[in-house]
Amino acid sequence: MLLAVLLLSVLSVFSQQKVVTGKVSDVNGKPVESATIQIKGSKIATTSDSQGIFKLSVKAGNILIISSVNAAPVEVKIVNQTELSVVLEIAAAQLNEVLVTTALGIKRSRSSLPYSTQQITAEELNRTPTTNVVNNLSGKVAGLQVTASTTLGGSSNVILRGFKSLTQSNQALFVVDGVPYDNTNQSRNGFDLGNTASDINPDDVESVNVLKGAAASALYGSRASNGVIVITTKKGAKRKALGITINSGTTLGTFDKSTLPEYQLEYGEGYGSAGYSSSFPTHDGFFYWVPVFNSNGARVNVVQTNQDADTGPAYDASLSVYNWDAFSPGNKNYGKATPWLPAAHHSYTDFAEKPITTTNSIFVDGGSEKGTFKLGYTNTYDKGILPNSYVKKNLINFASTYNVTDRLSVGSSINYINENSLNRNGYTYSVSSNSRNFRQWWGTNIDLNELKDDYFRTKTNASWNWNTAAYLTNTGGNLSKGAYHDNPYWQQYENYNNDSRDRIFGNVNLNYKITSYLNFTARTSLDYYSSLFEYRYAVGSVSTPSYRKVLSSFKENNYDFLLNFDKNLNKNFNLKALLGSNIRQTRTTSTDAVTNGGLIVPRYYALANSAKTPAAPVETDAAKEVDGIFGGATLAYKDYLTVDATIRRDKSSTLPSNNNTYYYPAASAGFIFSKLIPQTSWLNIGKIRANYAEVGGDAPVYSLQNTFTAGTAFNSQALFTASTTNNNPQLRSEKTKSYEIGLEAAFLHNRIGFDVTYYTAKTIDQITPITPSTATGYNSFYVNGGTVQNSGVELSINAVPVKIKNFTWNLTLNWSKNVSKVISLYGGQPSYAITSWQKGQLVAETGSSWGILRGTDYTYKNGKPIVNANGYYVFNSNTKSDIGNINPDWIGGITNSFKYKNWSLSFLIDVKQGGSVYSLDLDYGSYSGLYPWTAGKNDLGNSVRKTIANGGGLILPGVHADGTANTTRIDASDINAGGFSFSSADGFSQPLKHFVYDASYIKLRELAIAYSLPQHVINRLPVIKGIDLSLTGRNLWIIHKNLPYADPEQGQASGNASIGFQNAPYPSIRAYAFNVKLKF
Amino acid sequence: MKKISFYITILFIASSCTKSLTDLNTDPKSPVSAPSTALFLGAQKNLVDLYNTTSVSSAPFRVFAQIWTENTYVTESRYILDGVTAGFWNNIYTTSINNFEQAKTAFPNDVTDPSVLRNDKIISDILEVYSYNLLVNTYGNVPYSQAQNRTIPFPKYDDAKTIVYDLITRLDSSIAGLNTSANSLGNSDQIYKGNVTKWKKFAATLKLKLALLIADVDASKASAKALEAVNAGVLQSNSDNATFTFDASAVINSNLIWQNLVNSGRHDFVPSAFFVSTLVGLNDPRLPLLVTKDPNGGYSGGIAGAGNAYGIFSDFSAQWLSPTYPADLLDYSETEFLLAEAVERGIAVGGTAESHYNNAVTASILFWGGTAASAATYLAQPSVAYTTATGTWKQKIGYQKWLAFANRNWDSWTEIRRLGYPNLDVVSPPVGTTNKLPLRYPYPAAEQSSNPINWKAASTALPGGLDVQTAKLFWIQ
Repeated sequence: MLLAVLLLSVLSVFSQQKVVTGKVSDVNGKPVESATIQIKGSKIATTSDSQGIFKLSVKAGNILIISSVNAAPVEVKIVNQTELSVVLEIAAAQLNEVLVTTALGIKRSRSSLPYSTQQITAEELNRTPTTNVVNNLSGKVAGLQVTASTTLGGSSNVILRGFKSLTQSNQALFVVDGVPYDNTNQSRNGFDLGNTASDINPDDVESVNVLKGAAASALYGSRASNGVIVITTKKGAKRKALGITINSGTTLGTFDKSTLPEYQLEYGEGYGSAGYSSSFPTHDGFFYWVPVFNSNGARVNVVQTNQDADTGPAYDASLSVYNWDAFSPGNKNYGKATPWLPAAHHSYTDFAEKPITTTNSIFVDGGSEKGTFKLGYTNTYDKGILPNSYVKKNLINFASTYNVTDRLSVGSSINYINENSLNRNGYTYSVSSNSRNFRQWWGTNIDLNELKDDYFRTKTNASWNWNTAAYLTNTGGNLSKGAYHDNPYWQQYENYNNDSRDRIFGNVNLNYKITSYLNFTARTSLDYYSSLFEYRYAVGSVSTPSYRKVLSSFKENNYDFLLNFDKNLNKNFNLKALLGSNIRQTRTTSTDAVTNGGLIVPRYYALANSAKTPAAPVETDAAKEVDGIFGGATLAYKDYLTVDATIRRDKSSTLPSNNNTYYYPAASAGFIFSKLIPQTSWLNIGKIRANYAEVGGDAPVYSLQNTFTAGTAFNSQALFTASTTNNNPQLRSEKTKSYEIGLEAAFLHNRIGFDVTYYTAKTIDQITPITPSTATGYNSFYVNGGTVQNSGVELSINAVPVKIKNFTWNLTLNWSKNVSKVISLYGGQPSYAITSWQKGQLVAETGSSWGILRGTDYTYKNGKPIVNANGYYVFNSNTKSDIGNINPDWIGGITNSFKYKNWSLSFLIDVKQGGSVYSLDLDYGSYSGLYPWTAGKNDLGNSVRKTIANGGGLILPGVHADGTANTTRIDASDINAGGFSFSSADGFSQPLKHFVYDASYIKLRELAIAYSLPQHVINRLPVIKGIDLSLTGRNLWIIHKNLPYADPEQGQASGNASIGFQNAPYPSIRAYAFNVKLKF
Repeated sequence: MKKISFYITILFIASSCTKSLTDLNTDPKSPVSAPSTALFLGAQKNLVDLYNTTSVSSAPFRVFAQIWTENTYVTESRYILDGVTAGFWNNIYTTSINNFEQAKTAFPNDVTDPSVLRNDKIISDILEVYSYNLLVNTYGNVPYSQAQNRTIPFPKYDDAKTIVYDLITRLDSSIAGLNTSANSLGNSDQIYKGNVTKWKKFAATLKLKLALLIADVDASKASAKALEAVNAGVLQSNSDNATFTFDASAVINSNLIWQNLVNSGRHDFVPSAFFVSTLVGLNDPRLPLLVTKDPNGGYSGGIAGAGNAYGIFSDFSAQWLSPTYPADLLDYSETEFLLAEAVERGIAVGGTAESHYNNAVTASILFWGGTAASAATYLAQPSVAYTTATGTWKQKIGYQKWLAFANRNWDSWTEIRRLGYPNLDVVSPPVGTTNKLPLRYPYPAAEQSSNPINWKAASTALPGGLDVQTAKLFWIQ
């Protein structure tokens, strides 16, 4: 680069010559940086900049040779052109001299690496726009499983090579420009606030390199045991004028219908015969037969509005009933009986709104011999699917370098992120999730448009779920509240939450070239954010009104010193060595305050508005420091044999002082065997590699000493309790031992290449808060113990099936299979519960996998479920039977991209095969009679919900213990009195196993059509250097899935407990984006 | 080269800036020690909350006993206990017994007077015995000798009968060891405000209760221990009742019944039809003190096991739903019922069964806010009078004890199991189920996964060898 600038300035002296300007790009239209442009027969040459642009003084008749790594040189004869556009055909399988960013930001040529990494360019990453860069990694890296949620700005799981830790984080570490980037899940109080890697500006990313195994990542210390996502951001380039890029995109979303619930429309709201009593006998079906406020004592049919199931009376237009709206003053049906029919607007999509995202960014960069800078600003606005919800972000990225002397350069980078959100989506089984209504507890006689009108007209909690008492006491305007559920619009507009985050991520660094082969780097970095979260539960809601305010902060400082050695020892040997130290200090704090006993003044949200004295805020303050020193050496023989060894020593504050030091050794070797065999036309390169590494791990903060918790003083007397975690002063570091072997090859002029890796990682001596018997007095004991092994195969294939003039077809395939095995658990225990939910568990099971689903199961005869004499299933007496495994059999992705002149088309198919998910929605929604299979006809052609005596009921598929088919009908007429027969909930007819589904999917994840205005058109425009247009789609089509009404990818926020359990997910969104990029 | 060594020196200086790494690992927001009396109050309040809660996932005993029943979600009313039985176990061991143990360990740090120290420890132990009484008579064999040990994550279970005998022995030494002329916990004890004499009566009454628990399996020991207890001095009036008055200034310090039934906005329970109709049938003066009138102006309750609509039946009385309404752990009424039973069993505790029965019923009516006159009228009815009421002494005492235990949650269920009356399986079986009244709680499912070897052994030791709710505890006839 420096050379180019120098040459340009020298050449400009020769005035008789003319200056030719050119642009070098690859077949995909991507600029080729550092291409060499040489005048044939001379030593005059230059190189292209990051935009692929070069300038050179030439004379007519000169021939320019344009060449680049991995591309055949192109010759262009100068006649009278002043502008050139050169396309280089870069080989698809770039194994040779591609530079990748490895641990600690050290760039190494890919061919020399003795371990598995996979690099993705910004172009590959950002084909479709996203507000969370993490989600765009899905399907693009072998061995990387990304699970994105459908919540607004929600969480994503990023798991490399399987779940290794029983209880601590399994999420990959993010590193941006050599500095760890915090990715903690911010979710709280049942709202999904997302992970903080979503603060990374997708427009600022230059490349992503994924370090999959421990050998690649060991230098990062303990956090690297789950693999590392190394992100390199864009750098300023040396150029005469400023480079300016403006990017503007709009994304419109529609609902993927296959992820929306469908309802039966034969029966409405009610809970069977609930509510009948001697004083209020039944009348028609399952209505209450009671006097209401305006019936002058006469009894009328009233819908069981206090119930939230759809197991009420059969719809019948001839029946006139008091529906919920008869009790909502101002409603057109107030005080009136109306025909008993499904409502016109009862669907999820009558409530949810189509989302819109806009992204606008500007990037400016420039530079001279003295240094470079870049400055970027991005604004995103993401309107969610729930009414009154959004996430707004402002991102500012600035980085600069300055060359103080030839040897000394300094640099700095600062990123400021500001995020503001309204109404993050609830994801737990609670009132905070409006999605729960539409998937579990709902009646199709409820009209959402009326609920909306009622709320906006009265600004009260006009409820579809009136308490029974409302019938008797409501005398106009004297509204009572709901029994269980608030009006969903009240929930969105009155019980709203908001959060904001301000983040600074930056570093200052110094680089000094001590000698030609020795380089010293010092860097200090900061990652800091503070957040505010507020949640309101308004006066008039079902439960006690409250206001909650949580202030939290995160801070990480890293101080790095690094000495780099790189020298050719003789003509055959090159030695690279490094020696460094790292001090990492983190501190996480939070203050969580909530009002007590209600709010005094409605719609006034301050802690001071608490009806009773609030409890003292809950405070946390977790500080930690890890001090590490490390060293490494890489010895290369000729250009085909590389031997690499590293060691790191860490000392952590979270371990006992006498046992707080631990080591991570790693050794690897790479051998390019193709260099030793005669060049053939079909084999271009072949390489094998092998490595072994150990990564240590420390304990969570404050897990050595037992502590006490202060409670709210009782009658002015102090009250304390012991923590229910039994900490352990004897903890020692845990270890992950792993090895990996790999084979890479490229054939047929690099038209096809593959990279296959086999790995095994065994995590031993895990620091685990095991679940003891609570008879100990504790809910958890910290111990060292437990071994989990993950082994697997990763395969990636790159191919160029077609390459003709103006047209290229590129294909990339990633495939991986990971097998998780729990080899042992502390104390010989057979299983460890990772999390528990309604009647089910997710466990790590000795001899089996991390991630086994457990719950009630059938008993079987010849593979068929057994029923008893009454026609009901006989459950397995083990209520914690194994009923599923959340781990997929394999995951994969195929990207096809086609390039024709300035047009390109690409699409990504993302596949997950296998893995189980338990659906609480389908379980509860079946119990509540919401779904189509809970109605309809039985084998006799009668409605299943009629009584047995009237020909109703259904035969559960199964056999008797003797193997004969079940022929006994069971009653499904009344959710309670008859034993409503669809659900495992509360011991009804189906076990939990019935609601465990195969979570496989095949998705058309990305589809992009892009067009770049031709250079000859651009050249006629003033100022502008490029115009790129794109039309893209994301998650357009779930080609295959087995889970009804929802996206099988959905989980519960992120983290170990988030997978394999589905509760009230939001529908998946098909996102269509239009994007314009202008370059100046 | 000099330069290089300079930088290397910097590296090592930098990496050795580790002056106080270990100090950093001390949680600034959670102390490693706490005042002993504050721990005692934490334990005591947790025990009371556990005893008083309405949570069906912890203590649905009022529902079992059909004092209350459920409205919409009727699983516990139908005696379906899947996933229910963990809360009771977890809370007693972790929030109650653990904190009594922590308090006992911490007392020597704070209390200098040896007599006070001894009293404090003994009072903690009495409540620990009370806690174990709840456990062992709910599940059967439970971890005891290896429980509450920081180094044993998977404790073995001990034989239930052995545990009960040991609890009696612990009460023996507590009664002997309390020094009534010395002070104790003061206001950190929210039951007796540190009154050692009352704790001594409490311990004696608890001993009497445990003695009668084993009366059917070991009559001679029961007799000896009951006599010892009475001689030591049991509760003598309602002013001796072990009541715990809540603090309404904070929600979490309020009566859990108010928290769960009023403050939550939920309507999960109604008085049971069997309970209300029994009170109505006996012209019980406690009826209007316990429940309200229904919208029709009469008294009615929900059918156990059926779905019941809130608002069309009688509701709980205002005093019962008050945020300060006291919990009652052991009372004079129960003491007199126990004495009546002792007389019937031929234990020479003095008085007649009838006199103790009358005292018991009167104490309960007074406790709920009735008058002595109304109690006398009530007792004069042939359906209530001890001599003329229906059935054996077990039935007479059983029915009246059940009514008196309207707010005694666990004890209401336990006395039905022990005395056999009211025999709900016969007189009021819940609709929609063939299940019988649970005789015990199955062990928490978590024990099956977290302590499987010992859980298996304990299950095998149960009558029938299976961990089911129909297995009889050692004292159930």
